[in-house]
Amino acid sequence: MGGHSVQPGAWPWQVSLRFKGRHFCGGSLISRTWVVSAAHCITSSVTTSTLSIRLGVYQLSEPSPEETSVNVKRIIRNPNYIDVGSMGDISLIELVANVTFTSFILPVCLPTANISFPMGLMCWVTGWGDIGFGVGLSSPQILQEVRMPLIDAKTCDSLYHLQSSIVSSTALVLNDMICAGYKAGGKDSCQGDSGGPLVCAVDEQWFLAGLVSWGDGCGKVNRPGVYTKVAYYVNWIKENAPESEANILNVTFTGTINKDAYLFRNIASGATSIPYVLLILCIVALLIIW
Amino acid sequence: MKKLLLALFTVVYLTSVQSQINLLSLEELGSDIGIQVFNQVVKNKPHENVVISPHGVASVLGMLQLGADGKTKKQLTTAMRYKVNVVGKILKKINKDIKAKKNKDLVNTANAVFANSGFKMEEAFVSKNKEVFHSQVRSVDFQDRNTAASMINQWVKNETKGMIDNLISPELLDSSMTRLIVINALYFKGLWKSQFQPENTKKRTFHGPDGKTYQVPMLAQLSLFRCGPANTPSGLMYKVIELPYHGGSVSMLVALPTDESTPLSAILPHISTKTLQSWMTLNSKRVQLILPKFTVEADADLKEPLRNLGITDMFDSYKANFTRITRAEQVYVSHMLQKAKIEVKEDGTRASAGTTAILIARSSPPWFIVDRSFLFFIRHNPTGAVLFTGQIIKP
Repeated sequence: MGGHSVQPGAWPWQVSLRFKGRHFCGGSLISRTWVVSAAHCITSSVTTSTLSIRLGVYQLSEPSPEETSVNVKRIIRNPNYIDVGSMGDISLIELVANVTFTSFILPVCLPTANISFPMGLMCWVTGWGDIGFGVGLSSPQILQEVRMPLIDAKTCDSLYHLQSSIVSSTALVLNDMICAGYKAGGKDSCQGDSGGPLVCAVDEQWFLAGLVSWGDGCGKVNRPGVYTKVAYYVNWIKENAPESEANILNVTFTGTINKDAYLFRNIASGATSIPYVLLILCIVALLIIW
Repeated sequence: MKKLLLALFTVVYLTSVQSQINLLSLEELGSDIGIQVFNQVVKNKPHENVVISPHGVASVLGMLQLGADGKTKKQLTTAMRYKVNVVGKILKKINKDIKAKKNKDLVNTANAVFANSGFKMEEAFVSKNKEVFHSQVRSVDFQDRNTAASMINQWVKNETKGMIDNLISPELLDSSMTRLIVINALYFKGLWKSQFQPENTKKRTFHGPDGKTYQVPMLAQLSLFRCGPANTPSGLMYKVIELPYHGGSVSMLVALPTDESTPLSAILPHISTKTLQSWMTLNSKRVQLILPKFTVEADADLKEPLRNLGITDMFDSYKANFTRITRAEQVYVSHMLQKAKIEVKEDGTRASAGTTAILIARSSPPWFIVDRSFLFFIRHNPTGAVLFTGQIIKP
């Protein structure tokens, strides 16, 4: 929610998980035969016979010629996942056939295990999920994108304890999670986006930083979306889907990143403009005092 | 020839009750007669919104059964499948249970007999009615029909917290003939256990049976609901969802055919209190529910529906046998009317979101969309009593 329609082919790794043909979750292509998604998308009724993967999708309601459907050979749910909010909300889906890469169908890069995407880095979430809590995306259901800063698990967990009856010693946002969004809410992923990508661009490469996992409502104040941290599971991915190793790349971050970006949604285009605004205010104040 | 004018009447506002009793298939039987009456009513009104109270129908018929004798009584007991005299204690318990004070939701049933001043009633009829149905006996002067109507209407209005107004028009009272009016008023104020957020209510397309579409406000809620598919013995599929009220013992059950082309009338004959009971065994699932916001107020004349069910003699001025009400004169039932109203909106009791963190996965839940004609049942689960049932053709 709070996003807008994408250009066709803008996010070529984005896939749609279909249960008996109906979209229910997102996912990301990480190699010719592997898709990564959330564990909670794989409920007991989702099996190799009921699940199919649709790639190259632009709009859900009106399929385009660039799209293709592939059946599933194997589904691997991370064994640590128990229920909403638990660790390990990640799954791997092996396709029955190699996917042919096109400009609409391409894999995303995975970060190495030691990478920690810094708080404040502006990243993107994409999906066909709801555009508000309980409000479906309207026809033709064009893929949506939204840009938000990352929030580290610790900061995010403290936000989740504001106006909450849950004691602060009970962590909600765990080590294998990362958040994205604003303290003020408004921009977020929502129901139907699960398993889909949270990607960050580093040196013109797009990295899969997170998988849409859970939230409290959508876009609410102090309740940013929570994502499964992909770097935490990259070794697990490598073990189960060795073929994806070619897409695991190291990243180095350069330049300064405003880690408080999540505090400033309402002013102009976000984080970078804030200091200037404050500066001008300071100058004005000084002038008045003097 | 004297008349016994009978008016039955009901109201809803919405809510629930808490207690666990396990004995009673009886009230289920009781409500069955009401559901059968409902089936008869909608046969003649296939394109109208209808709401009636099966429990109310059963209560009034029960009160009449106590005053009936001979074939009139036989017809009543045959259709109802129980004798009030035999199961009075259980009925009393059920009535008490439905409106138990400890319940968080507000259900109030009130029964009354308005008798003409000077009309001599059998002692046993009065006492038994009081005992089983908590029925009050009040004296009115039907000669002055305006005053009599306004007195009855005021009583009903009070008992239904203002929800039902003007039940009886003075024209319905026959100054020289009316001897008795039997009334059942049922008021129900329910708050949803899980509230619908008003900001999620928006206009959506509702498909009328005539092929026309309407934009109507619809409530939306993503929650755990007991829901799933069911089918009639002939294999027609329909889907059902349960919306519990605040206190946990009253629920609204909504049913609609799975296939858009199947009319409601195709699944109706299959529905009984037993069917409702079987719906309660469906599993709870996280679904996105879309349900029209609606208010229905409907008057129903129950005479023909009851005659169709074999209850004929009591409406016949020559055949009616109410000698257990009075031996002084020959009375019969001239009218049997019911007025019911129900309002379905967002209000619930769950603390507004934001006071506590709720972890919700972001996979897309299945949608349960009620966007065409549907049936609803408001059921007191511990007893199986059906407080209200209705069909909504167009919200």
